[in-house]
Amino acid sequence: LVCDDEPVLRQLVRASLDPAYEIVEARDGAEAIRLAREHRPDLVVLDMMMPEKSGIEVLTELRADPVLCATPVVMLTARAQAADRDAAAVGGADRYLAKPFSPFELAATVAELLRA
Amino acid sequence: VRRPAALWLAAATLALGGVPLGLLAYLSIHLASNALRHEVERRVASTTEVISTLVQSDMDGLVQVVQGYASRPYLRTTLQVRDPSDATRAAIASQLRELRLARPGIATTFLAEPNGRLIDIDPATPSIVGKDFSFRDWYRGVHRSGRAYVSRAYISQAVGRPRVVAAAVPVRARTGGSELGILVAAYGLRHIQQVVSDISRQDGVHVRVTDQYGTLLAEPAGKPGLVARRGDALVAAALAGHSGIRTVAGADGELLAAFRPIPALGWTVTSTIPTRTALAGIRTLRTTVAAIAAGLAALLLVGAAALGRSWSRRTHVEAELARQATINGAVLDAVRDAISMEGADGGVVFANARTHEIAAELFGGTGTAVTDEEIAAQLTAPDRYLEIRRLERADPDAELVSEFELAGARRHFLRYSAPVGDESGRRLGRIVTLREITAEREAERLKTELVATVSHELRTPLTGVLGFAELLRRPGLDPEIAERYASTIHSEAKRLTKLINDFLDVQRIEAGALTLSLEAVDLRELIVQAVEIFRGDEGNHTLELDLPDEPLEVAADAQLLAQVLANLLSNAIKYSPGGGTIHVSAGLGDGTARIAIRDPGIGIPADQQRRLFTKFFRVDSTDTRAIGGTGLGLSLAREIVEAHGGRIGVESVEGEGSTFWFELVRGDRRTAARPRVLVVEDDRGAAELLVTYLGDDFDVDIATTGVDALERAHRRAPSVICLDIGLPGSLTGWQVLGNLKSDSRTAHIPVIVCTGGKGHRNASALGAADFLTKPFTREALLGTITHLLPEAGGDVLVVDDDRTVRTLVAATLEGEGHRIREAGDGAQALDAIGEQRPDAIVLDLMMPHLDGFGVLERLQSDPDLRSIPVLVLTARQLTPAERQALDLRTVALLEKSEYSALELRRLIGQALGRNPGDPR
Repeated sequence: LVCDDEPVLRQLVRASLDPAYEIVEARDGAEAIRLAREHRPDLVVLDMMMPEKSGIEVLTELRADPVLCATPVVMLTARAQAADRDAAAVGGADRYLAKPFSPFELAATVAELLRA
Repeated sequence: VRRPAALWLAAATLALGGVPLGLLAYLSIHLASNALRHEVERRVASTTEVISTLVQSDMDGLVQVVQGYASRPYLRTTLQVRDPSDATRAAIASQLRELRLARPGIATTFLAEPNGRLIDIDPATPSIVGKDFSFRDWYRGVHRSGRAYVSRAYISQAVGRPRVVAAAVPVRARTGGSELGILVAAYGLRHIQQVVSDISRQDGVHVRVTDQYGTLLAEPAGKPGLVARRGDALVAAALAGHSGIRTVAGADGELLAAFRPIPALGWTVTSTIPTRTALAGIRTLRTTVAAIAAGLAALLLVGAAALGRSWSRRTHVEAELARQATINGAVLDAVRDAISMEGADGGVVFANARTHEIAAELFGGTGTAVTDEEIAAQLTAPDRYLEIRRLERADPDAELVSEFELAGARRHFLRYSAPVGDESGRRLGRIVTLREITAEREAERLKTELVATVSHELRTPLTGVLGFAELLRRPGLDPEIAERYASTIHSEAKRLTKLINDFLDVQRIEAGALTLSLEAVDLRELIVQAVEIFRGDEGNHTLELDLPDEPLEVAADAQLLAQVLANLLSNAIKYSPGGGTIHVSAGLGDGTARIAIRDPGIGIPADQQRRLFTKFFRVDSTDTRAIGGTGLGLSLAREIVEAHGGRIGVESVEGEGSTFWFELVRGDRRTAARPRVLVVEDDRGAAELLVTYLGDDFDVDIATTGVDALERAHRRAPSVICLDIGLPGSLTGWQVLGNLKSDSRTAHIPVIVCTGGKGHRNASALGAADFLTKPFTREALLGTITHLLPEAGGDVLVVDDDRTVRTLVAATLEGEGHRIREAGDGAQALDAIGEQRPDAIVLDLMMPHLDGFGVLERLQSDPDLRSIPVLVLTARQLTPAERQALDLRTVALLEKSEYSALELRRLIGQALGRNPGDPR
C-alpha cells in the first residue's frame, strides 16, 4: 500500500517497486486506513506530511489495529529533523526514508522488510 | 493660572485682618483720648483746687497774724489812751511796722479808729492819716460781721498806691468787748499773683483768681490796674457757689476750663487750658496709633500678597503637577503594553488604558477586579501563572518574565513584573506589564510553517525529478516507460522552476526591486489569454467570462498582470474543490479598471481575510491544508497590483465562495500637470504609435503639417517637439525646424528629429536637440525626451526615525532626479526646513522628540510653510479622526505596509506638479 497525497510521488514509488510487487495507492490517510483494512497489504509506504490525516496518525492507527499492527511500514518524509525520525520510531515505523529518496534504496528497503 | 482666586484670597485676608485692625486702632485712640482728656480735666480741676486751697490758707495765715497783733494787750492799751503821746504814737507805728514785716507780701499795715478814721499807716503816709476810710470794703466787712474780714481788691492810697486786698480785724478791749479800732494788713496783689503763678506755670494751666466781686486778683502776666471779670461765665458760676469743668470757646480756640469758689473768702478760681495744647497728646497718640495701624496694615497687605502669591504659585504648581500627571497618564495610556501596579498589599493601585481594555476583552470587567484564579483559568498554563504569582508574593524583589497563551484564542502575552521603589528605596509595590506578542509568535509560527512548507513543496518535485532520473538509468528499460519517466521529470522540473520563480519574485519585491515595464494593455486580451491557459486544468469547473465590448486599456506590465490573473484563477479552481462556475469579469470603475474573479469555493473566514495578502499566510483549516500551496501567490499578486498603483481585495463568505478583485488606475486619469509633447507626423499610424508610447506620461498634441506644427507651437509652447522630416505641404521638416529655432518664442523648445532617413548632421546644424532614426523603441523615445526635459527633480525632505526607511525613500526618489535631504525626527526636520524650504516633505508620524503631527502643526502655523506639500508615510494604524485631520493638511497618505515605490514617485511627482517621467 502506497499512501501519498502527491500523485507524482505515488507514481515514483510505484515505478520503484514495479513490477515486483502488487501496488495499491491511497491519496490520503483515511483512504490508506480503509484500503489497508480491505487489502491487508504486506507492507505500507507512508508519506509523513499529508493533509487531513498525517502519516504519523495513520501509523498510530495501523499499529492499534490488531490485524495490521505487525505490517511493516516505511515512512517517507520531507522533514529530515530528528524530531520527525523520533516520531516515526515511536509510532512504530520500521524504516524511515527522507525525501528526496532513491528509488533503489526504497526497493531495497522494501525487499529487506518483506524478506524478514 | 487662577489669578482671580489669588486676588480673592488676598482681599479676604485684608478684610478679615483689616477690619479688626481698624477697630483696634479706633478703640485705642478713643480710649486713650478719653483717658487723656480725663487726665487733663483732672489736672485742671486739681490745679484749681490747689490754688483755691493755697490762696485760702495764705489768707487765713494773714488773718491769723493780724488777729495775733490785734489781740496784743499793748495795742489795746495804746488804743485806750485818750490823747496819745508821741511815745504812744511811736509805739503804734512800731507795731504796724512789725506786723508789715511779719509776712512777706504785706504791702501795707494800718490802724483805723472804729469810725474809719486812719490812726497810722506803715509805711508812713502822713497825708492820709486822720482820713476817713469808712467807705472801704474792709471797714464795711468788719462792721457787717463784727469779725475779721478779707476785703475786695482796691488801689491803696498808701505810698506806691499798690493794688491790695486787706485783712481787717477789729481790736477789742477784751473778747466780746467794745471795739477799739480796726487793724488791717493789706496784701499786695502781686503776692497773690506770685503764689498762683508758681503753681499754674508748673501745670501749664492758665489760672485766674477773683475776689468776691469778680475783680481779678491774679492772672499770669496780669496787667496793672483792676480788671473786672464778673461778666465771665465761669467766674459768675463760681461766684454763685458752683464748681465744675466745661469747655468754652476762647480767643485762640477751644478751652478746657475748671472753676470753683473759695468759700471762706467768697473768691473764685478759674483754670483754663487750650484744648489743642492739652490734648496735643491725643493727636500724638492718634498719629502714633495710626502709624502703627498703618504699619500693621502694610504688613498685613504684604502678608496677604505673599499669601496670594504663594497660593497662586501653589495653584500654578498644582496645575503643573496635574498637567504632568495628565501627560504621564496619557503616555501610559498611549503605550500598547498593559501596565499596572500593585500596591504593597497586592491591590491594584494603577492600571493604564490598555490594562482595562484587555481586562474588559477577556473578563468583561475592570482590570482591578479579577482574581489570579480567574486569570489563570483563561490561560493554557494556569498552574505556571499561579506559580509565578506565588513567587512574587514569596520574594518581593523578584523580577519575573514569563509568557502565557490564552486558552483557545491563540493570543500570546509576555508578562514582566518587577518591584517598584521610590528614590529612598522604599518599596511601593510591583509593576506588571503585559505585552501582546501574538503577532511576533504568529510570525514565528508562520516562519516555522514556511520552512516546513517550502521544504515540503520543494522536496516533492525534487524527489520526483531525482527518483525518476535514477529509474531512467535502470538497464533495459522499456523506451515507452523511459519516455513517460522523462516527461514526468520534465513537468516536475517545471513545477520546481515555477516554485523557485515565485520565491524569487517575492524576494525581489521584498528588496524593492520589482520593475514594471509599462505598456498599454487591453485587459480583455490579458484575461482571455489567462483563462485559456487554465482551460486544460479546469476539471469539473466552468470558466465564465463577462467582459466589456470596448478595449479596457491600462498602462501595465502585461507579464506581471498575467501572473496575478494566473494566481487568482488557480486559487479559484484550487479552493473550490467541489467544482462549479468560476466567473471572471472586468469593467470600468471610477477612473479605474476592475477585474473580479468569483468562485463557489470554500471561502475564507472573515477574521482571516485581512491577513490573506500577507506573505506566507495561509488560511488555517483542514480544507486548505489539503489543498497546499506556498502562501506566496496572493502576496505576490498584491505587490504587483500595488506596484501598478492599484488595489487588491477580497469579499468572501466561508463555505459560499470568494470574490477576488483588483483595480488598476487607468492611464487617462493621470493628467495632472504633465508636460506636453508636440508630435509632428503626417502618417496617422506612426502618430498613433507615438501617442501610445508617450500617452502614459505626457499630454500629446499632434500636428500633421508644418504650418499646423508652427501654429500649435506658437499657440501653446510644448515641452518637447518630435519632428518628422518628410512632411506634406509647403514646409518640410527642416524648414519647420529652422522656423522654430529662429523664432524667439519657440527657440528654447527642444526638438527631436524623428526620421527614417539620414540627416543627423543637418539636424544638429539647425539646432535640433536630438535625432532618432525610425523605427525606434518606446524606451529610446522616452529616454531621449526625459533627458531633454528640464530637470524634474525638487528638493524633498525625508523625515523618518528609521534610517532604513529614509534610505529606501531616498533611493526611490533620487532616481527621479529629486534632491533628497534626510531628518531623523521632527526637530531635525524643522531645522532642515528652517535652513531651506523644501519643495515637498515625506513625513513619518511616529518619531521621537517631535512627531509628525507636531511637524504638521508647526508647518500649518507658518504661512510660508503651509503650502509645502506633505506626503505622510506611516506604519501606524490611524484613527478616523487622525485620518481626517491628515486629509486636510497633507497631499497624501501612504501606509508603510502598503509602500510602493511607484506610488511614492507618482505622489511626489504630483505634489511637485511635475511629471513622473519614465517609470524606471
